[in-house]
Amino acid sequence: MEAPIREMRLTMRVLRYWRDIAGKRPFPRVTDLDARELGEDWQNCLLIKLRSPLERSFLSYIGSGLVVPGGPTEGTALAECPPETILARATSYVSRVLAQRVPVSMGGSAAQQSGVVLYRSILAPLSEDGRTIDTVLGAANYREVQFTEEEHPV
Amino acid sequence: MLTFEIRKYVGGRWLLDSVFDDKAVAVAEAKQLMERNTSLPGVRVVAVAEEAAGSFREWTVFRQMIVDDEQALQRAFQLRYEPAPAPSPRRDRDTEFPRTQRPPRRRSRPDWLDYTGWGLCAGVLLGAVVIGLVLLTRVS
Repeated sequence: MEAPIREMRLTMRVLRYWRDIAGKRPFPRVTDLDARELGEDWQNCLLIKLRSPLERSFLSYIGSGLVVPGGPTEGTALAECPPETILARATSYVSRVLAQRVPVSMGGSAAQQSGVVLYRSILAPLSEDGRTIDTVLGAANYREVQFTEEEHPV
Repeated sequence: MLTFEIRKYVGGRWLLDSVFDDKAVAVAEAKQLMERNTSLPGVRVVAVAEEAAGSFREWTVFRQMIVDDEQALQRAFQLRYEPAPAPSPRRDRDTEFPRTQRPPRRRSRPDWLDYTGWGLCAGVLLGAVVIGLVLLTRVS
């Protein structure tokens, strides 16, 4: 029997995991998450605990793949994340997830300590009671890009 | 900003499933969604563009329905295995022409065959009459 083909994109793997644990429910619970099932991908995940107003929402978990020395840590409010960083960019569309009540995936460029990076991220809603979104599961990965004058002439 | 929304057909309605900023990713995910969920009747990917005045413009960039697939299969089966239905001559005559204005009935044989037949019959009859007369004159 052939092994299923592994999805290449982290964001799509996390989205499928989210769908699996949600089943027929509109949203899975935080307690449904199992870091072992996500495997290495858990290192690139984050959790946002939602508060009102939205700026008070904070990062309740940051995977080691997204931790930056001197950067946001667990407990940091979204509003305190330095702009242009990957964590700020990857969480910048939480309001859209709350408005549309479905997983949203975005990508773009951000500034990391090593320089400019291209990132891809996803945010997916979680709910304890199946109605009110209280937590958001996020995942992001990135790669550095080298900009040179030859590639981008003025 | 241009985004791509996956919408799935559930209970007779199109429900938003997920949102992407990449068309290729959205289409790939929509196809996967159909493959993984065999009870899902259909999915589509809709491009949504936010315009300057705060209005939105949207158009479908991908659509897959089980019904489409089944109809295509049925059509392919019909073309391959089932003979095309024979046209009904009565239907045309009855629907296109009123009873009083029917077109002349088409003859099944050519006219020259009829004339030849009649000619032969007449020849045989004439011969028989001539032979009868000759015999009658000899007897008398």
